[in-house]
Amino acid sequence: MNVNHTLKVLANEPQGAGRYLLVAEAPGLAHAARPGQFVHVRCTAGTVPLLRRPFSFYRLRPAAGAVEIYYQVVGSGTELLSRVPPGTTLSALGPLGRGFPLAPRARHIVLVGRGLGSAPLVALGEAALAQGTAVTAILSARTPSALVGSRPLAALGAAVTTVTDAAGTSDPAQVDELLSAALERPGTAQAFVCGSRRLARLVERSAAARGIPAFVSLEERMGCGLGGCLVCACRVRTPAGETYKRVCKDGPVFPLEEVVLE
Amino acid sequence: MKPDLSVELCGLRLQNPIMPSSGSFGLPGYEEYMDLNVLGALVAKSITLHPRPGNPPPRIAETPAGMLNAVGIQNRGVKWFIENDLPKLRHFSPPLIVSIAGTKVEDFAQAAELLEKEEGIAAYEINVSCPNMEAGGRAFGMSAAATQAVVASVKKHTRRPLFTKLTPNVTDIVEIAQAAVEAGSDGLTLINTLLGMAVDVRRRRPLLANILGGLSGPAIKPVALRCVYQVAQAVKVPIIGVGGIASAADVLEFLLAGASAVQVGTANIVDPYIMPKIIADLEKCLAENGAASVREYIGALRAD
Repeated sequence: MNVNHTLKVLANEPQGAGRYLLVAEAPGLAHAARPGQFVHVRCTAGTVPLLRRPFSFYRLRPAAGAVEIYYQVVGSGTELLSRVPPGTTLSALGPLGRGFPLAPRARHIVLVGRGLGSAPLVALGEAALAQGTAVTAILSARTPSALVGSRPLAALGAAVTTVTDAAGTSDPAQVDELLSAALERPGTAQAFVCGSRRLARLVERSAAARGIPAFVSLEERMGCGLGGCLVCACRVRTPAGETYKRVCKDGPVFPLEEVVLE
Repeated sequence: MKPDLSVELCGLRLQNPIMPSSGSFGLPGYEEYMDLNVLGALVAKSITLHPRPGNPPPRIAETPAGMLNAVGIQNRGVKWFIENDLPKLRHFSPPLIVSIAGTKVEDFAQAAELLEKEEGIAAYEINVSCPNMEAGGRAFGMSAAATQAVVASVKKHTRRPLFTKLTPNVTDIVEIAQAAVEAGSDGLTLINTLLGMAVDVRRRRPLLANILGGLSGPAIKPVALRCVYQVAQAVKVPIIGVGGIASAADVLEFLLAGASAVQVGTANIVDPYIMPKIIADLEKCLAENGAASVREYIGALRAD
């Protein structure tokens, strides 16, 4: 399998608060990718910064041969990326990793995300709704402007609730109440969480109490993205005890019960 | 006529001088993405006698034109390697070099003894950059005596060629290289990563959980090239050059300085498809320069 692709940038627009939406033409990637997988992008052809940057897919548009990446400027790589004009081509490896294991006949799923970590939930929500699965999304952020995915998910037909630190609605007790109500909905088959260890712990507890399988998408600094260099380690539980797995190849999506949430 | 890219290393015939450095390339694993049979040799990730979980994350930090890593030789041990990885690796046509690491002299010897019974291994690379737990945790390769002890202990258990991969974190790498050769090392790999660190000023914390890590990438190429040059002047055994190699021109620099083959490390992490590209470029480069063989470049640096 050749994972070498070229992203032809169609748009790279600021979304406020240092965030950007990159839309790129990459037909092979758009067809092969699944929600929760990621793409490893070179932000420059030079040697500074040297390493690629991993981005989850915000939306997949196979019919248009395009993928969408929602990202935040946090360092030199994303800063360079934010200045890339339409028409530029970028080297990308993908689709990489294991995505969300969406159950094909699920009646209802629950999505929980915080800040930019909510980005891959949009692709997942879209896929779920397309197969007739109802979606409830609880999206958290520090401020209303830092919420990601609430508008597109609502527009697609998901039941979206937003909570923010600014409004005092994002504390664990309040989120747990919303989460419990969502998980109690008849036919809830799975729960997915991204972007916050605290929320992941809430989902783990609440979903386990109801016997609902839950999954988390993890982030870690990466080297190769293909499972070769072993730098993106995460601590997991196995029958033989705790060990490290690779976020890039064994994940980024893991069963929540498997991950040691530090 | 197409230029001849083949080289010989301690009796191993390589179709070209390009191989991955240990740990920078998934072996096995990357056969999923590309044809491994185009490479000069395959070098597996370092294995130790017993399984090692590796260091906690973060294990990587970016630096200008380089990266720091502190993986901690995560591996499942030599027995697991023999049962699970070796059967997959021995089916590829390039010679397989198995890297051995350890924290006690006896661990290297025992690992070599187990591997020696197995088919499909062309040579060993001895990673002397691990901390020597019998001598306060300094890397074996920082001491001529400790390097000699490890090489001699492995040499007793093998008839296969032995390459010792030296650390640059020493006062005089030539002295260590000579010690390795005296103890029976058939060749040398130069260099392992440079010890370094990076700091997150905002959080006032080191960027690596291990605090210290190994620096690699284009940033270390001049140091690696210097080490290859200095050691090539002092020993008669073949040298595999490694450190920041990312292009055919880089390969030729190392060959001129005295290397007979090279390893590509960090460049694989940035671009897993770079080695086939370097091989193709190398052929083109030789043809453009009217060279019939890549061997013409080995040690041909004119320093007068």
